[in-house]
Amino acid sequence: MIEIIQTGPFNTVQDLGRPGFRNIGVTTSGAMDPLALKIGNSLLGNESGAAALEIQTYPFKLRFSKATAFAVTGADCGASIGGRTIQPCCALSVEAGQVLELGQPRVGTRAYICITGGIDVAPVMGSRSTSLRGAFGGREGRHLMTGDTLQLGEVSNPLNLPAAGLSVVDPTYALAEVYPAPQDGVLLVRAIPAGEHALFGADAERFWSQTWKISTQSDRTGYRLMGDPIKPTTPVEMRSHGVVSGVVQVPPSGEPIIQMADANTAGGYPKIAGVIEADLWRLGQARIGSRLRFVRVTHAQAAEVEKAVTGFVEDVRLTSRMVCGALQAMS
Amino acid sequence: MSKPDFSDPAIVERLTAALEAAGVDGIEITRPDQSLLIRLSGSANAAVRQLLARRTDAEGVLVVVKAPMAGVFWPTDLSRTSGPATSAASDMIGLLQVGPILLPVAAGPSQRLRRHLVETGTVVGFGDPIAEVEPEA
Amino acid sequence: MSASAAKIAAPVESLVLDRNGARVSPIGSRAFLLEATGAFDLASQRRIWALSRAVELWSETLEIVPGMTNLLIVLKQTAEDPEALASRLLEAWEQAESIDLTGRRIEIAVTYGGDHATDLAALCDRSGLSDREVVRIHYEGTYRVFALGSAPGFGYLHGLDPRIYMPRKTVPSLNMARGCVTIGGMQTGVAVLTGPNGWNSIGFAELQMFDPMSSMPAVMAPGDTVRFVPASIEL
Repeated sequence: MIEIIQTGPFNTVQDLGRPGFRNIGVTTSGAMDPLALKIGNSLLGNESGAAALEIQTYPFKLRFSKATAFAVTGADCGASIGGRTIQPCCALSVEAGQVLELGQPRVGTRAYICITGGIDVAPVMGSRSTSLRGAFGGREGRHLMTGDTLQLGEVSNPLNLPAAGLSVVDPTYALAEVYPAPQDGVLLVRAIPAGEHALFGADAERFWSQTWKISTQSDRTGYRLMGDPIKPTTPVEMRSHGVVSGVVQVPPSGEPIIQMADANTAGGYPKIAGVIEADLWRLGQARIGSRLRFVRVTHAQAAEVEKAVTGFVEDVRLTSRMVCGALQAMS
Repeated sequence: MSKPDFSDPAIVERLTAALEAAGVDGIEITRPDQSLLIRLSGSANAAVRQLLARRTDAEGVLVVVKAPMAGVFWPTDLSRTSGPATSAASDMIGLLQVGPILLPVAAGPSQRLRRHLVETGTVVGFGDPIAEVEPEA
Repeated sequence: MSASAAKIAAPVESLVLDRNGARVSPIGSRAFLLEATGAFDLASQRRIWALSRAVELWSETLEIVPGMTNLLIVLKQTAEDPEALASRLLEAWEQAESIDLTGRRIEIAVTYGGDHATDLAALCDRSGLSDREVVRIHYEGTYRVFALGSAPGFGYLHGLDPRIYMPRKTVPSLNMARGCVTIGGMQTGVAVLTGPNGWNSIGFAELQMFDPMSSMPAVMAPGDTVRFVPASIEL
């Protein structure tokens, strides 16, 4: 069991989401940085989609009431255990009573606390993710509060972590070949033109060329962007249709909205583009007020990135088990 | 008979040649005032790694930290730009990289790093000495 | 040069196919939207329902989301050959024969007017009808659930009388209550969540539309027939 000692608002239990219910209006939810969630779980020997805590407001503190192991991945927020600073993106064993503390992130925005066995809240419609909008899943369908206690699940084959723990090479560094570095602090987000792209005429080119700023009206549901408005050449009244996270819609204001993990399941605004699946986690770590530019790509390019990311996660899973096994054999 | 001085390169060289001739991978000699470790790699022009530790004062003994497994040695997490010096644990000696995994190597309780014995980015084998640590002041 | 590198160097074309009354376009790397470009009517929707049944069985399908005369297909992973997939979707549409879902009959008791009918006056202005006429036209209609979406259990209802058509707002209401009976373009529905809403409210219903703990979480399903029954009219 763990106990939340201190938390800001909007911190929730998340897993890889609740696919399969968009057709009845249920958003998928799930971690905004699914890569960090998978890495954290892999370091512990959990199922890669085990439920974890998604922390997006700080400081955050929790106490472990029994000896176990945990990993903090995603944003680098100078985490400490029992007052001792730990490596970023690291898994460690803890004793009963120890306190884990997360401060303001230096890099990224969302940190994931994975614990051996996963957070064992009751699954709703096949997932433990919190749907804040629907008020179900996770911890009673709401964000975490001070004093909350959460049960931990069981895992059949947990890793036997070395005393100093185990960490992971920063995925942005390890995957530098498929993730272009930000240019002058501008995050490059790859997207594929969507259905109404051509309707924007000359404005479509400005969509790709200009630098957009992530507005303060941005959260797990969507990111509103600020910049020179883009408008369709003729007004359109669309019939409502299903959407997925990553869709870039343009409301009448002309400033695009990127739907994120808690995306509406349906929409009617014209869509200019769709962010590729493999770049969504980078958006999940982008800060409010930071700048981004869209880079137009093809499905083939998207598939290549996706393959590299899948390979990296698999490598983390296999190598962490191999390292822990080797250390045990040699000790 | 006077004690040999293991810090003498000539002695290290003679010992190394003897080990090579005997087909021995390495030797570790420890005595109260000095210790020596020689390991030979498998190649023909055998590279020699040696380590000398000396008693520094009445209490403080230098301790050698060895690689817990094979990997690439990094003194800090170079994959991160966020100032690893401030985020790393205080008794961290460095990290062994195995593919995407970084295995932190710690100095141990009440010990601090004196110096690294391998270059950044060196491939080390199991048991290779990677650093000297000394008791915290 | 590898094949993939050659692809990257090639000019990037947008992937939108438009033929035989349907149009396919991608949303990101894993989703495709097929829109029937013909009339917004039950006949088109019956073909969408038939298409849904066919596409649901494809091995690469993760989920399908029928919309209003359209269908979103979400794939398990990025499409290896997006052009081929888009063509297959169009072929499936061409072969999709009309099916009629035999749904349930649902009656929803509505309080028309009152505090929740925040947009009734605007609707009267636009239509030139009195509030009583707007309300009467709304409850005399018979509606079909075309699709669910937007919020848990929310049903898009088709069958609105064009006289009370009202476009979505350009600036959504910030805090519309759950239960508001609304009109959005040629569609009507009952709000299932309290929050921002771009549709126009003319009344209020008490019905609980969604229960996540139930084996059938949504009350409505595509094909259901819905009638609104005036419980009271407060004008």
